[in-house]
Amino acid sequence: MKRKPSKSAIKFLRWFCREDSIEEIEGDLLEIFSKDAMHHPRRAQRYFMYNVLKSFRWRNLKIAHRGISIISWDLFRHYLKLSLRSIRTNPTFSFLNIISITIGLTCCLALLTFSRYEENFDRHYSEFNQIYRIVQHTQYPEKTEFWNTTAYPLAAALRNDFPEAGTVAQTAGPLSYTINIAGNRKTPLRYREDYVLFVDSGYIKIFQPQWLAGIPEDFNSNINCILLTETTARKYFGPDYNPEELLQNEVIQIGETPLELVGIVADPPANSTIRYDVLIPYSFFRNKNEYWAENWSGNYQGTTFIRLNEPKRAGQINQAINHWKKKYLKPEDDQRIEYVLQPLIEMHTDTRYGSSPGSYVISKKMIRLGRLIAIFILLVAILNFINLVSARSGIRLKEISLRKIVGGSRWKLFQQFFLENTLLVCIAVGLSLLAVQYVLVKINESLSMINLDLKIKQDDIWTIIIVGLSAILLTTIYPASILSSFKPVQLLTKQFGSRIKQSFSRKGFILFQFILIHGFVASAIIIYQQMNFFKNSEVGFSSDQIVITPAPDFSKKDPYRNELLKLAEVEKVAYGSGPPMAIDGLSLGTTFRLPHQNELEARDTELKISGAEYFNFYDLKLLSGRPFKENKDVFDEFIINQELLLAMGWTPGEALGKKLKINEGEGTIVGVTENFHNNALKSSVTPCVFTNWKYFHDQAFIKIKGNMPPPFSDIRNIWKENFPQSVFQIKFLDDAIAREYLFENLILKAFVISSLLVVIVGCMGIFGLMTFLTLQKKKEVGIRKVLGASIFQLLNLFNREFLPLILIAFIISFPFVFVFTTKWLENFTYHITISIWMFLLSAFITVGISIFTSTLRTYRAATASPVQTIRED
Amino acid sequence: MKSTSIGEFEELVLLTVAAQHDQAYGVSIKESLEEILDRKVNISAIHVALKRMEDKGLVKGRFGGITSERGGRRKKFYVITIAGKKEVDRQYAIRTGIYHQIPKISFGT
Repeated sequence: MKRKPSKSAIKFLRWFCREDSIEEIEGDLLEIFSKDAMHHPRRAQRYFMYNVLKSFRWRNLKIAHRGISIISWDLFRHYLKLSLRSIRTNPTFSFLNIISITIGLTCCLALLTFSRYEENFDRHYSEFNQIYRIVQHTQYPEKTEFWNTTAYPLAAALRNDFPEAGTVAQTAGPLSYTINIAGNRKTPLRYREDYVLFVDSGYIKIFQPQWLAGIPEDFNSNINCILLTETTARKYFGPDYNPEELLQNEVIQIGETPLELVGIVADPPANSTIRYDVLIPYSFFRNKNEYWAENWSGNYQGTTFIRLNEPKRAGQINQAINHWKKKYLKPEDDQRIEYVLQPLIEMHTDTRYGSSPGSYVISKKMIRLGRLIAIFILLVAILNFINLVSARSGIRLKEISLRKIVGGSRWKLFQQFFLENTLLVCIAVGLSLLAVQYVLVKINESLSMINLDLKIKQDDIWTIIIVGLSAILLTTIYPASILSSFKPVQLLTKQFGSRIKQSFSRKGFILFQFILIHGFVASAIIIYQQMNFFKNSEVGFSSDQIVITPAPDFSKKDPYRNELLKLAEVEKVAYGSGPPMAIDGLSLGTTFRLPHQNELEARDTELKISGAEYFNFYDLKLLSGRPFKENKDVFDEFIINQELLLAMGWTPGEALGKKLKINEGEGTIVGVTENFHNNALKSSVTPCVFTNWKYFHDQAFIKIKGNMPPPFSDIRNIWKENFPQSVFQIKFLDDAIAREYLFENLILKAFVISSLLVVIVGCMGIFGLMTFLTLQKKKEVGIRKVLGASIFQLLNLFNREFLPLILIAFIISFPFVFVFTTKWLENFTYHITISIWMFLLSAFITVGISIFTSTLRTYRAATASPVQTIRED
Repeated sequence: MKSTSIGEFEELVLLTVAAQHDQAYGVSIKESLEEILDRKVNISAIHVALKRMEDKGLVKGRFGGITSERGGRRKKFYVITIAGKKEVDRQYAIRTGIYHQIPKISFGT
């Protein structure tokens, strides 16, 4: 029996070996094999395979031989010309492809820039890894409260008792102040600054603001001095101010106190949690607010930071602090309060502590969600591209076959299609780079309230390169390998074996696309419903046609009101510490208990101070009792809400006449209001107590009659006459309430825009698909028509290609969307229940839009005269 | 410019090609070398050496007729070129030149 060498080894040899060497190598190997096989058949087999492997050298490879053509400039130019020609001959196709990829890329880049920006929050400080913010956990029987602020004396005590731990910094604010700049000017400049931050020398040491003029020593050694950021200095003194001149001459006043301008510092980067426009020494603040500065049991906007010498010992130091705090804290406070060292970079992502003024928090989950959406949108665009290219391949079959017949190898065809698609994607990458700049500017503008400053930075170049390259690779390799795999025989014998396989993968792509489209659209619908719910729910008080102005001077209360009431448009005026729903993060907190209970039994409540007219003004319904009669220097009356009533276990009638004690004093309950939403609908109604105090009537509420527009300029003039020392502000209550849902609105916007984009991209896909399908089925349509098919039946012929896929996609996406939106809705105390119609609506929208786009293309094919379509050829 | 310097193994292959004039091909070179050197020589190493020397212009290949024992593949026969012969001569001259410089020392044999 004659032995044969292993077939697969020969196959492998023939696969890799270059054509001009195969003859010699294979011949020699076989000869050796047949000689060996006479003595040791087994060993011969092994030795043969060994020799094949040994021959697998770079020098013998086909690819190495072809390597020349990869870099051949002539061929490259040829392919380039072909690609340009192909792009030009099919403008619709090229346009659809470029636009859909551009949209996907732009979205993806914008979202990735956003996530990177958010992730890099507070990472610009040197040694940010060593810096910690001290936060406070306060334990109550029902819950733990998380504070991002601490009592003011903490910093000094830490500095004193833990000198070796590190550098401690104390800040106060940022707070709002009116700034006066007199100098030699006839009319002094006056500005309202919302971000005046008080900082000590430790802050300067830890956070190292960049000094554009002046020196830190002047700031540290002086109490009555002030630092401006560059932007603020420009605002005050014009763009061409001379810092040296200013430092010696300008005196800036806060209230009555003159402050010496000692320096100008660079603006803090927009992605910092600590925001300021003006810096003033903390000692200034301490001297003005001695009670706050010495009080250990209250948090008044003070934040303590520490830069540890040995960050590894953070845990130990944290323990030591909690052991040590009893030295200063009252025993009951010592029991409930725990101090925690929070790494600086977590300030932005730990939502438990809430945001500090002028900043915002965003959870890591949201950042990740943003990144996920970015990838999904890009994926939809890429799949769309692949789909379009492979759908068109049917039409290019002739070209490919001809190229192969005249000697084009698969590898060369691959190169050609690779280059062609790469060209399209490169154009798209270029366009999206331009578009993303514009989009970022727009995003920054629309989100100016959170001080967003998105920019493409140097670090983003890698993101762009990686995203761009992966887009190019993903979009080009698959179609190019599909296209180049066609065999000319297929064209001749009309056996489209691989076409079946291909339409299967194409269906997979469409399915995936529609799963994402459904996901986005259904989520957007549900989020929209929830926002609508926020907007339209009964809040328990009237909020229409109400504007709010500050009322800085209590003594001018009555003249201001009386003059306002003279205006024809003004219906009512009321004063109070704030509207019924806490807005702009402003709510007064206190605790309540019965007079005989001790402090540990006290529970949290919101405190509102209001005038007698407040209840009528806001249509707050009283379950029992009466509104206040008058406001007093020492308050003695309370009106409580139903929630507080429930907490005490009284009926509305019983409550009247009962005594209650709050942190600020004692009083009698004279009324009970029905529950109203004293917090935005995201959170539950909490206990709330009104008092008839004379102070803290900081806000004036003005009700405008009917549908009249508010007389802004008249109000402004009256206001100016009464409060000449302050800066005028005015806002609608409705707007302020809407701002409470700012973040949720952003999510809604993001989802609406993303679903719009994926729908557009998906539609382009369907449109492109139909373009090629109609060409392919031209004859079929003609024949069916001759045989009596109606237009509807013909349209159906095309819609059948994707309608079942949409339905399957709907079923697959349903559970994902359901789980995701349910989780999101659980964040809110008051939320809608998800019902099936929201999903059906989404399905209806997607099906409707898809049929519409497909019909745009197929209608012409279905109505074309069959004579012409059949006669062709 | 292609370097004409050759390695030791290539030189051996080149010499064999010259010795088996016009009848040298992969397997015959392998067998002859194995006999002379008394060790196993891998065929692909010979292929590489031949290809390299062909690139350098030291040997020239031609295809012979089909034989059945080689699965229908033709033999590729090699002959030495003039450049190849010169290279062999040069190598020989270098070696013998140095060899003759060895002083006559008795190693006790």
